[in-house]
Amino acid sequence: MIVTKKKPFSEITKFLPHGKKILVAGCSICAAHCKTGDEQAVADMVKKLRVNGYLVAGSYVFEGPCQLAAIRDGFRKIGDLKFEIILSLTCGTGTQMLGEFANVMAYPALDTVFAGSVQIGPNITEYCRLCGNCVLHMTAGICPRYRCSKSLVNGPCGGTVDGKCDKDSETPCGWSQIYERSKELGVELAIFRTYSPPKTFTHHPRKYTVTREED
Amino acid sequence: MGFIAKMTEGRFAVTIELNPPRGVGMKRFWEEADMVRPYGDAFNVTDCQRSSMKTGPVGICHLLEDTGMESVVQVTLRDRNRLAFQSELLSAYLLGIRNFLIVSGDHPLCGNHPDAEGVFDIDSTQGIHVANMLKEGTDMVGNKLNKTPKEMNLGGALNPFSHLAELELIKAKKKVDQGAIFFQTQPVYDVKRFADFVSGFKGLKCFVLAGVLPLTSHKTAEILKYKVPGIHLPDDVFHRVRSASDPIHEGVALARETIEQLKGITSGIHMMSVDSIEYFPKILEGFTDKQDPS
Repeated sequence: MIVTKKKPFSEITKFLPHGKKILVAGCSICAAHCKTGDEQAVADMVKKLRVNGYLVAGSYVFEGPCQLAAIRDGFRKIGDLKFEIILSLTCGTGTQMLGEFANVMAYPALDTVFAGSVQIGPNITEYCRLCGNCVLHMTAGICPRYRCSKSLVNGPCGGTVDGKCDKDSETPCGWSQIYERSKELGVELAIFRTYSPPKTFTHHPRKYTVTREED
Repeated sequence: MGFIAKMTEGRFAVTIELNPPRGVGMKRFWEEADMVRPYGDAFNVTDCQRSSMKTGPVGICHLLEDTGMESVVQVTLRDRNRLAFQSELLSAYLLGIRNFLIVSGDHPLCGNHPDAEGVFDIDSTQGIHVANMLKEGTDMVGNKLNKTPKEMNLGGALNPFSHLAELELIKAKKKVDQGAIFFQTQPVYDVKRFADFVSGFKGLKCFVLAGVLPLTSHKTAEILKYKVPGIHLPDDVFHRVRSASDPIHEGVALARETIEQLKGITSGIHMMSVDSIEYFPKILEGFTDKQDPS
């Protein structure tokens, strides 16, 4: 899922204009799992905005505002609510799509941080950097682009200490994890011995659009 | 004679690391450089070491070369993408620099610009591969260079004490396959373990210069023991310096003993300093056979 965290309210008040009727929008999928855009988060935001003198026209939690069908469905249910701007408690994709569809300015209430997974307890952990060149088949299922803080693909750097990264003593070294995991799984990894060329950005998702297969 | 040629003849080489200033005042830099000038065969200039902003090494290596000191420019991939990297190597070559130590570099969070984005577009192994392509006459996508920087000597860094020693050795072999001909290592305080590690280099066409970082103060010993990643400082060595009433004397003696033991194990040594460069003449006396110590 796409992981988001709340911007501080003091940051939002710096860019959110007063005097405009606001639709506060949430997301019932990823942002709801992060507790950043669920019903509760949206209700809290509405309350805070009103306390701070903002005009809230209404609120709605979309069922995945990264999908056009969900946005259409959401706005149909919202009906003829009059709003002039959107404050979006969704990921960056949701915020942009809501603004595009409603043809109004959509402001972000969240920061989109990574693609990750909810863990046991409160933590949400990054698993994928969405780099567009998946190498998991070569690295025992552990991503060197994300798990190695320098995204190295030819093995560990010299800074790793007892399984930790050189950037701090708490972050695990991705290449230590790859090494250990390959031993656990009993797989011989060619990437240890063969040269991996630089990643290419020419077929990268940063080209903005990929074409999906039709049914 | 260059330090690579010297090692090729089987002679023990000494490289000495010099740290650039932060700013354009070169007085202290030259004082240090002049102090160690007679003792080194070549002089590394670090590239924003520990991710802390300093004056760049290419310009400083050029100044060293102008005074007759052979330089080794350190180039991190932390701070430049593949375009800037290739361009930088060619600029350095134009300025008379022939020796390149190519490293990924410490993470920005280690230094004084922790908000910086680490580039890491290519890694150190790929950097050596790309530099070797330049050396053979093309850029990394195959465009022919109008003149080839044939005399480049490419090197890499090495941590003989990584807990992933097996991978470190494999990676070094990859770097040799891609064109590295020398390695400079992290400081060695455990010669036996180091000797075991470099025995894996038998048959590889490369030179290893073992890192020597003198421990001439209690503070340095503590920093290296607890604060710097990738450095293996055994307890007995740490306590020897930590409990010494005269740490300078002890640190100098320890460094000399280490170098003595390293002779015969490696092609040379790579001297690094944490506030100890003034003791280098004492430490290196008798170990350098530089023909012209002027």
